[in-house]
Parts: sequence; structure tokens; C-alpha cells
Amino acid sequence: MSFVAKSAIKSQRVLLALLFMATTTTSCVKGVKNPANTAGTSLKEVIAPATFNWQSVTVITIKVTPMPPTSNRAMALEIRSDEGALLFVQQLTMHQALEQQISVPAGTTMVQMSYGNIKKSIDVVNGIANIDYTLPIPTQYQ
Amino acid sequence: MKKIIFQFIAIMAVVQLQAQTMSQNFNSGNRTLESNLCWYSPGCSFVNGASELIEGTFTLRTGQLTGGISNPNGLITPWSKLTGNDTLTFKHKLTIANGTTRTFYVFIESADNRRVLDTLFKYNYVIGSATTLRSEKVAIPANTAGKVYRLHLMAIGIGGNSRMLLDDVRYKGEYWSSPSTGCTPLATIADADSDGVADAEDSFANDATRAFATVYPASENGTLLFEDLWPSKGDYDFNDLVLNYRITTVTNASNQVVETKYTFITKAIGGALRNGFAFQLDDISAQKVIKVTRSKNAGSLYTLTANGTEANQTFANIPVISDASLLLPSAGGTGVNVSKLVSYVAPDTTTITVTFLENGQPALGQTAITTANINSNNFNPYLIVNQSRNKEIHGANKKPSNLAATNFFATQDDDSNAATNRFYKTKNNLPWALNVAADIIYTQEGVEISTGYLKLVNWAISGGANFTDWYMDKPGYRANNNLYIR
Repeated sequence: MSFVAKSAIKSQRVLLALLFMATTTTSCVKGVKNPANTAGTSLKEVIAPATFNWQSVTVITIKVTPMPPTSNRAMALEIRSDEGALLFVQQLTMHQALEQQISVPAGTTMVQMSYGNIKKSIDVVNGIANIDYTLPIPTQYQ
Repeated sequence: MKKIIFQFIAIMAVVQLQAQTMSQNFNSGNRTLESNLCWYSPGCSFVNGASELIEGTFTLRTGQLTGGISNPNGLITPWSKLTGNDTLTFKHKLTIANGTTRTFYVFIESADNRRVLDTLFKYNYVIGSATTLRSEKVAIPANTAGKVYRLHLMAIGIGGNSRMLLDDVRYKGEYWSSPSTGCTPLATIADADSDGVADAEDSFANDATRAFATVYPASENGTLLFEDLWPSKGDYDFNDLVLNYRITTVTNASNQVVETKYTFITKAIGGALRNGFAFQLDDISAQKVIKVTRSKNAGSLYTLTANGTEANQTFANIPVISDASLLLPSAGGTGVNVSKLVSYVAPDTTTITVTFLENGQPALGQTAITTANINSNNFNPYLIVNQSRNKEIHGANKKPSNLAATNFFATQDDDSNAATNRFYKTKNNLPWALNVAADIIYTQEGVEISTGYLKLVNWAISGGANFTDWYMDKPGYRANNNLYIR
């Protein structure tokens, strides 16, 4: 093969390599735009996930497991944040089921429920707070 | 004659309802559950072994009855309003025929003088035949009628290791315990407006049409921050219009929404445009609104219907401000309350009440809404750009109102796509509005928000998973020199 032909082939390969690098570099631009160290990164340059809705609150579902029916006396079921802020209140009897969505600050992992004298801390797991009225048997009746 | 017959039937129906049967067969197999229903069984278990089961799926079994009077085992019923002249029935026996003594008692305890137990029944087991099942009928005195008692069915013993088995307990009475207050007798509830909500829990104790009020955000005002150059990104200082807000939702004893009250505090205008502000209640029909009451007129930018919502809208759209610059007049320079070089202008407060029930009734032809229908998700605030009613700026993925012109979508930096319910986002999913459930300080004019809130970028990149507290005043979270702090 002549020197010119070899040079042409080499140039072609370099060109292809450059083209390949350009392609891969372009497709890695997203990673470059969201660096691990975000200090000084402008918000205008950020790529946020497509599903992100920019909310500082999240919606969780409270699910109340009812007790077997006894009396029809209704009381207020209150759901509060760990800091005591009232998030939700509804009048219901202990034998009424309830499934309701409420708004809580993003990152909430626990809420406080109260119903009469029944007060419990409820974990929020996978966006659900499962609530029941069950308490341990009182010591004097063990 | 017919009237007399109907009255008799009605009276009998009431009597039947009140003469309920209290019964316990232990078939739940769950002592904790029964305890929470106020059926206590001290020292006992629920068993289902073939040799011990009396009937059904479980039977109550005491512990070994060796402690004498100091260690009674058995069943305590819930407080019940008795009918009097009744019979308590139950079945019992011992597990094995041993023991020095074994005695079965039924005590009756009055709610009027707690812990005084009168003896209704006493049976001394004949040890040799104690494993034979007995069915008992114990008379409940007539003078208990209409009064509240509970029954103690207890076994005591000395020596041996036999236990008592008990099942199929029945008597007439109305459940009168309060599981939610430690199984105390039901107390008369103070309820001044007779709406069924105790005064102690009723935020409107003298108003039968209202019961509860919840506030959102729960702890403090929220903050709305807008960029007004949409569909162009602008300088991203998010102070072109800044408002605080608070929403109070009032419900009645039936958990229906009576009204929602909105308080908006217009704090800053970071530009020259004469922007308006309104909000949409997503998925809430405009027809469900009875009326809108405002502390000030919304202004000439809007056409209102008779109920105070905006005309030609499917969902309830509530105009708030036509021109924010009229509420916060400029003190010089560009913008208001965004530059420390310019005099501060006192914020303006606007309150709006949206009424859904009046005297307990919804709008004509409509059904009432509940807290299941309306919450923070429905609240869809938006800026109206420079007096152009058809140019709206909403939060990310919040739907536009009927009056928003769609020709702005997918132009310049906007990447909206109505077909996929994607609205008010750039190609990189950045917004033009932020709704923060806290009262936060905004950045100064021309200062990008991420230079004031140093964790905002991290929050955005993580899709909200990290630094959910980005807006809080924590070490390393803020650059105060970039914030508008007076």
C-alpha cells in the first residue's frame, strides 16, 4: 500500500475516532452537567429527573384498620407531625375504615396519631401510614 | 287504629335495638384484640386444643388456680347498660379433676361505685366431677335495669394444678364502654351545638355547621416564588413575584368541607411587569362553589360569575390580584423589596374565603366535597404575565386553566406537552415557579436562587430524594449575603 493510501486510511481512522469521541462525549454531557461536586453549579444548568415535580411536600396515604363494631360513639382522629402540627383531623367511630391521602413535608418518616386516649407513633413506609387502635393489654389485666 | 299499631311497632323496634346481647365466645383467638374491646381476661389464655375446647374455635382457660383469693383468673366484661330481669348464661368446667378447692364466682360491679363487687353467683366445684361441662343461668337483678355495670366471671382455687375453662358468655345489655379512653364507662359528652363532636374536640363548639379547622402548611406560611419571563428562563432569581400563603380548611361533623380560607401576603416584585395572581382548584368544579368572599376586589383583569369564581372555567379558578404593582407600589428603581438599596414597602395581605356549604347544604344540584376531594394537591397557584390574561405561569406539571393560551407551550425554553400532561418545564425539567411549604427568604434582584440556597441544586439533581430541607436555615445551606434580608 502506498504512503498516501496509508495516510488516508490513518486519517479516516482518526476521523472516525474523533467522531466516536464526539458522540460519546455528547451523550455524557448530561453527566458533566450534574457533577458530583455541585458547588457553584447554576440551577439553570442542572438537569433534573423528568419525574421530579419540585414539591417540598409529599402525599402519603393513611390507612386506618377498624375495630369490630361496639358503640357508635365517634371521636376525632388526629394526625400530627413529629413537631405537633395538625396535618389531618376527621370524626369517625372505631369501627370505620379510612383510607385518605394527606400532605406532609417531604422526607417525613413518622407521624403521630391520637384518638381519645389512644396515642401512637406511626411509621410512614413506602408512602403509607398504617394506623390501628390496638394497645397492649393493661398490666393489671395481663 | 293504624296509627296506634305503627306507634307500637316503633316502640318495640326501639326496645329491640336497646336490648342487645352482649356475648363473648373467644373465637377471635386474640386476647389483645378482646382487651382493646374491653373484654379483659386476667391470667388467662384462649385455647383450642381438642381436650379443652368447649365450643367454637377457642375457649378461655385460666392459669393454674393455686393462689386463692389473691389470684382470681377469669373474664371481666365491658361496661354495659343492663336491661334488668335478665339471665347471664355461660358454660364452664375444670381441665382436670384436681385441686384442694375450686370456686367459681360471678360478681357485678356498678359504674356508680367502682370496685365494689357484689356477688351474683358462687359455685364450689365438686372436684371429682369438675371436668363435666356445666351450663349456668345466673339471674341479673331487676334493679339493674337502665344502669351501667360490668360482670366479673372469676375462678379461684388452692392446691392442685387444674384450670377453669369458660365459653359462650351471654347476657342482655348495651355496650357502654369507651375503648378509646381506657375502657371507662361511656360518659355524657359536652356538645353545646349538638353536632356529635365533643366540645373538647370541636373548634366551633357553638356552631353546628362547623367542627374542625386544619391549616396548610401546618406549621407556618408557605412561599410561592415565580419567574415571569416564561417561556424564557430569565435570570432564575425566582423573585419576580413572591407571596406567602396559608390555607385553612373548615369541615363539619360529617367531614364535609364547609369552606377554605386563603391568606396571601404579597411580599416582593422583582421586575417591571405588571403581573396578576390567581389559583385553580384542580378537579373541583366551579359549580361546587357557593360563593367567594374577598377582602379586596380581584380587579379588572377577570370576568367573574355569580358565585365569584372566574367565568368560562371548568375547575374553580379564584382570581386574587390583577396587578401586584398596585398592591406594592414601587419605592424607586426596578422592583419592590428585592434590593436593599431601595426603601422597603410593607407587604400586602389579601384574604379569600371559598364557601362550599351554606347552612349544611352544598351548591344547588351539587354534592358536598370532603377532605378526600380537596387537599394541597388541588391548590394550583399561577402568575398571569403583564396583564395578558391568557399567559399563565404555573408550577411544574400543574395544569393550566381553560383560559391559558397554548401557543406559548413548547416555545423558547418551555418544553410543555399537553398530550403527556407535561407543563411548565424546560427540556432539562426546570420550573418557572416554586411552592415551598415554609416561610423562606428570597434572593436579591438578579441573584440566582441557587446562590442563596446552596443545597437547592443537590435537591433538584436527586429528584427531591436528597436535601428535602434545602430551604431551611441550617449550617452550610444558605449564603445570606445573596438573600434579601432586611
